[in-house]
Order: sequence, then structure tokens, then C-alpha cells
Amino acid sequence: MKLSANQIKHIDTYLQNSGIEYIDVRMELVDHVALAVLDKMEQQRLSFYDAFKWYMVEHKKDMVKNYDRFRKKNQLRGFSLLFTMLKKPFFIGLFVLLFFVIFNCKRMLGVQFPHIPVLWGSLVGLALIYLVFSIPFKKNRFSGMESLAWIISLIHWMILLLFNFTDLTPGWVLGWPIMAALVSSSLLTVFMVWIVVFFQQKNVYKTKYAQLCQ
Amino acid sequence: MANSKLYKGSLNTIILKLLEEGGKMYGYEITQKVKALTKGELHITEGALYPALHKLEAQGLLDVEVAKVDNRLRKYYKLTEQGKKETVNRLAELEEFIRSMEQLLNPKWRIS
Repeated sequence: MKLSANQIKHIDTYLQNSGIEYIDVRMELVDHVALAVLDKMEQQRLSFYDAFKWYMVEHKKDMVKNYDRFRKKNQLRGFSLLFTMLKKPFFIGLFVLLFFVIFNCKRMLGVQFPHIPVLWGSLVGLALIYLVFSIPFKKNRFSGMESLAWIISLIHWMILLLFNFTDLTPGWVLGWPIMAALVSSSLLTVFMVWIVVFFQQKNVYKTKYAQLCQ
Repeated sequence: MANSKLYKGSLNTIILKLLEEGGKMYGYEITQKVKALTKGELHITEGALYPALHKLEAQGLLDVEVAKVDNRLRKYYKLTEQGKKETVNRLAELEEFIRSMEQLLNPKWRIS
């Protein structure tokens, strides 16, 4: 016995409406629920809807609770990926190089380097957020990609807060060349690390979940 | 898991051991295998199983493969090379723990 495409769709829609948004997690739960429902149908000669109702009465609360826990942990997963990449010698070297370039340009030439992060943060950040949600995955929400999208919005927000050139901008950001260089080079390095991690993750998801991205 | 917190600490090792024997397995298959091996004594809920599988995957111990089966997608887990080495270590650790527990619970007193 096997479930029809409509019955599978019913399980998928039910789980999605129950708040299980990430398709990589939901796909697995759909298979689990389908198999448990099939077993129940065979063992007790129940209809699909009776078996499905039985399963959800028994397990929905636990399932949704665990998904919420997963969703919260997932937000930290992106940070962990970024820190792992940031520790690599190439990015430490890049940070040091950026710091000296920005510091010396600002000190000797008076160049306002914080303009660069503002442009990067605004334009590239928004473009990448768009990429996360639309082009590669047909608007499906993947847990790993979403953890990175959450971080980029945080970085974007920080850039706007620190370099908005209004009265809200803390004096130490633009006033002291060394602080301005430190903040600018840190943000630029984190931003570049984010881009590398983003493309790595995108490739991982597109390889592992090719059938969901077609 | 239906019965006791005692199993919880060993869940990852149980999963690794089953994957070592079974090659590649999917979530529901793991729960059914555990149920069958323990004659229904141990029941792993999806709430305990999937977070454990995702954690092992994030640690690089498991690799995943997605295949289309009966109108839906199924996610298979298998051990990575690192996972195979880790399984050996964790099983040795678990056996050592069981030995220690046996000694604690059934001590063979000797007058030396």
C-alpha cells in the first residue's frame, strides 16, 4: 500500500500550516508521518484520514515544540559557520590588511572609508537577501540559508546604525581614525566571510536537496 | 523516548551503531529498527530522533542523500569517514561505561 500524491500533499500542507516552514525539515517529517500513518492504516484497517487524525492527536504537540526548539537553535548555527570561517588565516590576514589600508587612507588622505560599508551593506546586502529567498530555491525556506539571512539583516542593521552620518552616529566611529578603521575593517571582513559562507551553503543545499530546487 | 532518561545520553551512539550496521537509513526506519531490536521496550519519538540526527550531521559525522520514494522525498543518513571513526570511539566509551556500571551495581567483593 502507498499514499497518493494528494494524501502526501495533505500531510505537507498540514505541517506547513502548523508552522513547520523549513522545507528541509518538513520534507523529512512528511515522510515520517506518511510511514507512521501507513502502518496504522495497515494494522488497524483505518482510512487515511482516521489514521492521520490519530497521528496528529498523539504527536503534533511534541512535533511543533521540537521544531520551535530547532528553529531557535538554527539562528545560532549561522554564527557558528561564520566564526569557523573567520578563524581561517586568510580572513585574519584580510582583516589586518583592510585595517592598515583604511587607517592609512583615512589618516593620510582623509578618505571617508565608512562610505564603503554603507554602500556594501545597503546594496549588496539587499541583493543577497533577495538571492537567499528567491532565485536558487524557488522561494522554499531552507533552515541553513535562513540562519545566514538572519545574520545579514543584523549586519546590515549594524552598518546603518554605525554609519548613518546623522546625530545618531556614535562620535567614536567617525571621530577617531583608529576606531573608524577598526569598525570598517571588521564589518567588511565579516561581510566577505558571510558571502563565502553563503555560497558554500548554497552549494551544499543545491547538491543535497537538488530535487527541491529544480 | 518513552522510557527513561537513561537512554537519552546514549541516543547518538545508538544511531551511529545502527548506521554502521545498516549502511544508509532514514528516520522512521531507525525508530522501527530500535523498536524491533528492543522488542518494543525502547521507543524513539521523532522529537528526540531528528534533533539528534541534525546535530550529528552538523558535526560532520553523517552525510545525507535525498531520494524520491512513493510520491515523496526521503532523506537517508549514512556515516561519513569521520563518523565511522567516531562510532568506534563512542562504542568503546559506552562499553566502558556499561562495565563500570556493572561493577558499581554488582560488585564482586574480594578479601585480598
